Amino acid sequence: MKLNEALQIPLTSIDREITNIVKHDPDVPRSSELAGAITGLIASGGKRLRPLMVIVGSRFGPASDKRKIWRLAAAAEFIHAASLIHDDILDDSPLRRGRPATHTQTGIYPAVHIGSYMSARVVELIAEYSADRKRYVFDLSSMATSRLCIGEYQQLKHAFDYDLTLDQYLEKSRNKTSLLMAACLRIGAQAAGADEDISGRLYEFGDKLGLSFQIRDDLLDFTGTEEQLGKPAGSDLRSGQVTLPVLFALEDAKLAQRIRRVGPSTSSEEVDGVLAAIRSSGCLERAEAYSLRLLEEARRLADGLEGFEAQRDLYTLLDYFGCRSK
Amino acid sequence: MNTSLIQNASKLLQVQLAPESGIAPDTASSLCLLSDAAQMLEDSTLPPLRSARILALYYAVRLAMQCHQACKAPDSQLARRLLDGDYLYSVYLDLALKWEEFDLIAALAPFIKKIQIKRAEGAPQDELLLQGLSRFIRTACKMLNDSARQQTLAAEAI
Repeated sequence: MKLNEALQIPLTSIDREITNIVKHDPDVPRSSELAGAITGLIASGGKRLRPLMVIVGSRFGPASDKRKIWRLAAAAEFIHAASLIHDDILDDSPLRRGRPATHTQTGIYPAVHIGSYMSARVVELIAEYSADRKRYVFDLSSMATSRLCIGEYQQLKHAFDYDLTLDQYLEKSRNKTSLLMAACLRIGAQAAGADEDISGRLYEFGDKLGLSFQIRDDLLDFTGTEEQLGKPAGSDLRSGQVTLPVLFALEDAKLAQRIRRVGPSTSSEEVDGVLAAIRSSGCLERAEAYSLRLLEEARRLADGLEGFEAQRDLYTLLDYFGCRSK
Repeated sequence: MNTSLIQNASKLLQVQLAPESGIAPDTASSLCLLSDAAQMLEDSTLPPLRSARILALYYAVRLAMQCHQACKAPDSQLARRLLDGDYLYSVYLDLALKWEEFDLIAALAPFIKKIQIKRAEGAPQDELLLQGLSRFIRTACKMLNDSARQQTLAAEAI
């Protein structure tokens, strides 16, 4: 069963709401390249994890202004999609979900501004519908992406940096992935009137879940096929990204020597050899165990939210991310 | 024109930028990008600190636009320019929220959005930002004057 089905959230409704963000913008001609690129990106699919988390978070609050929640959920995905357009340019990835990435279709300059349009449109919408100042500040600051950018700066700075520490890796992963996921659970909860303590615990849950998700994503780079990944396996190492399995592998002096030789101009054959050595070193299993530990910590946080019917949704999320359910 | 407002705005923005970003706006660029907006603020009745903050926020958006404007070809600086533009725009939002300039965010949002649309269409209208700021300053001054008038009337009534 798909995650959205297990959570009883129809993806078609989410997608409709996301598409409406651009469709209902009076400043965007329907037949424009911009509208086409955005609706095409939305139609290309995706897990919709962020909107699902906003909706799950809202189930922990007493109020249920469905319209508001769904709009927030759509806004979260819109911001995420904007970041994907810019990420593909940053990473020079020609494909997204097996299709040409936005910049491959439109060229770099239009794609940069299509992504920026999406961020600006969300700010405009939040400013329009948030009559309550406190809510407005909360929703907007949750959508602000400065931490995401800092994560990108950290990634650029630490490319081919084999002295990266575990703490630096975790901080970068938090900034790039888990904080936005955590914020999605929290804005859903807050929008539905949940108290600070509950939304804080959901934030912590989302942070651990997101971090675990990022580590699993790192592992996929070693275990996935090009078809699954939409890019050649081992792309992270080739582009200088020091992920958790690599960090663990660097603890082995002999393996570290080989890894440290990988640079921007290393041959593909040599990188393939290093990837194979990391795969057989037991480091993938260590990284997997680390990811599972985070999920276990998240599960304990979910255990503390008994009394909420939506507690089961947290277990569903844990199941999806690879942990045994309660 | 008095350049101290521009210098103050520039300093306000500079101290808020994360060291990781390495962004260091220079004086020449600030004078070039901010002189029109600074003149508008100097001619207004807004208090000096608020004017400097508004100018710092405007500066962040102008710099973001400048960075994204240069994102045209896949050269070695592309990633850096794109990221700097994204970061500066997010700093604008963070700072505006921190300084409680909610009305500024709401007022500039449709203008910033239209600038992106026009650029994506290949028919830039970057002057929209200054137009948006001008409209915001007029409204903010009117609100300030109305509030001052009401306070005077209340004091007279007492």
